[in-house]
Amino acid sequence: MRFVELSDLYRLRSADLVGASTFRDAVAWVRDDGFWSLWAHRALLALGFAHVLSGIIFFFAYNWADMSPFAKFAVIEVALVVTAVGAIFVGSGKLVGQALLVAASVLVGVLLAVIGQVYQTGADVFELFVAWALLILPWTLFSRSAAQWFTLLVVAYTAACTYSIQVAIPMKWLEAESTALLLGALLTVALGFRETAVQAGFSWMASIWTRYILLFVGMAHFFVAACAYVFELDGHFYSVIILVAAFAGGIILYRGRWSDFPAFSLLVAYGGLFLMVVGGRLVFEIMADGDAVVFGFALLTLWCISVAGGMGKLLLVLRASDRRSAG
Amino acid sequence: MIEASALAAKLDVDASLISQVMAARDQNLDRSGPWYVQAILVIGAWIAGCALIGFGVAFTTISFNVDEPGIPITVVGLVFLACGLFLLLADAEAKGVFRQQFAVTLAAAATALIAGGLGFETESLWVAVIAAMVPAAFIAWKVPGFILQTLTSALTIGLFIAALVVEEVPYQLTIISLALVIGTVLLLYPPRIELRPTAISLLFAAPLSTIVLGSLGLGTAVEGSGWFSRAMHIALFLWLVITIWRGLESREKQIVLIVLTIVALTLGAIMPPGGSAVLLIIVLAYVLGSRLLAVAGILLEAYYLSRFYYDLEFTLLTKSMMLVAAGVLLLVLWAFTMWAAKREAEK
Repeated sequence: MRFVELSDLYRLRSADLVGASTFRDAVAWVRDDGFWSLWAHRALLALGFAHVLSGIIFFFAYNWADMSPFAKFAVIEVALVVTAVGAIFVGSGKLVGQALLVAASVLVGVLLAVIGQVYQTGADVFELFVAWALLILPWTLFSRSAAQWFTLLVVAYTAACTYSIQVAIPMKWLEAESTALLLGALLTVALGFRETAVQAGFSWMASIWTRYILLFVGMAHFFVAACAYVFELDGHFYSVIILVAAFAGGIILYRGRWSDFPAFSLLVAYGGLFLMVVGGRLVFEIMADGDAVVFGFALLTLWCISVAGGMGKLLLVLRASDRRSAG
Repeated sequence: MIEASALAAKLDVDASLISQVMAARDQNLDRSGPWYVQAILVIGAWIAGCALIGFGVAFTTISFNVDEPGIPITVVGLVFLACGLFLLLADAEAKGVFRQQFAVTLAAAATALIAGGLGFETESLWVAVIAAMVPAAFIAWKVPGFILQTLTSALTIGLFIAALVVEEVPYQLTIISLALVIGTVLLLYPPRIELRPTAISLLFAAPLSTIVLGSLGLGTAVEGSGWFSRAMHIALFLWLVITIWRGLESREKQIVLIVLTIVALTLGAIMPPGGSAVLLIIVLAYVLGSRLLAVAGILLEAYYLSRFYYDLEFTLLTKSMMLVAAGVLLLVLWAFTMWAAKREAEK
């Protein structure tokens, strides 16, 4: 059984099989009501919480200097207790419980920031984020919510960023150019953790967006580090090796093992973009001066078209082959 | 969701015609791929197009050693455009991926070169806008395919917004907000010509221009309270609500819709135009059942909330109240939708 899709309706409209006035009704017939009702519920809840939490943060930013320390702690702690108790009461299996838990986790960070401000602890920013990550870790371990794990990852990532900038790089324990690689490694570990958890049967972790966001952002770190080497801004050759290794590993997993075509396409896009960058560097290394720059641009154009066309060809051929195998 | 035969019965057309269209969709999917593959190809064509623009400019300025390269660049652009369109229009059914990518790059870069050349020659951004609009309109009318129309329509709209800002045209926000209205109308009442790429470019013109101009430090140029934009957004909200209303039968859902109307009116009135524009895109995603619009709308909303902090139009206290009020309204609406769903399930 095959269902009509929205794109079919636009084609039917082009063929004049659907009139302009009927089109809106046809959209309603074609739409997957079940999916969009669920989506609307989730979007409303997420948007509502996001607006309220942002509003609270803005309010504190406005009123901060005039509030007494007692008032600051009282407001944040009451909100923290209400959201945490609410999350326990509702349960993290439900959407509202998950939203409350994320809100409580955000408020832990706000509370730590206020402690630092009121008592002038002199702590570095990274210590706040490390403490924040450690404090929400137990909640996260007991939660069955991908959103909560994602919140923990964002806090841990920020802790790693601020630690690199405030401590590791000034103390020369880490080179600035290696930071992107290490952060990319952190995200790759998180992706590996996600894949292992899903394989082990943790179905609440299986939302596909978690894979795509981690893969996209993780590869972006390796890509930037490798590009920095190619353009000789800074960096080491091993950045390129790591990018290639991550690319190859991703291809093996998302093409060979799980046949996830969007994830595979994302990897191919990074591979193609890196080839364009390398081509650009080589062309202008040879043809940077005088009239040669004209040929440089011509060569680079042809190179980019070839790479983009190659990516397109590869993806379309594999997609068609997948569709044939799926019958 | 509906099957081809059921849709044919509702539309009173031959079912085989709808099956033919669905078969064409499969063929098109094999030829141009799903949306994310097309997005990758758009990025590839954009990068190659930038290199080709570099070639066009270098070729005219270095090879011909001219001081005023406006006209030569335009001529090079016209030659590229003719070549690109010839490749795209001749033997349209049998295009290979490389040939299509080459042709799309040529035509897109040509549009930019013609606009840039004429704009440079006349020292007028408005001339550049018209110079980009002419090939973009021809491409939308005659050339099939998403990638080229996306690139040329985005270029034209981008140049238009740049002209509004640079020339300090009054009521910029109102003019940019009109793009949202036109984009919505084109998606809900599509003409027979395929204009979806143009419609989507128009839809994102206001939020994306805020992001780009904000990153250039020109953010306040298109921000502001803009009462006319607010009125337009409220009207659009109401229109979309009526669209949803038409498909509802149960009393619970109609109550939810009344609440939605109140929420929509209030949000349109209290939120700044940038925020309500993004919320409109999210509602439109729901009405159309478009995942692309839904994902883009949610990402833009997250960005908008983080950027709203730096908006100088309102004090932090006002912004805080706006956000809390909007959030509470959205949560009330969520509670009503949950209540309606539960009541329906009980029935």
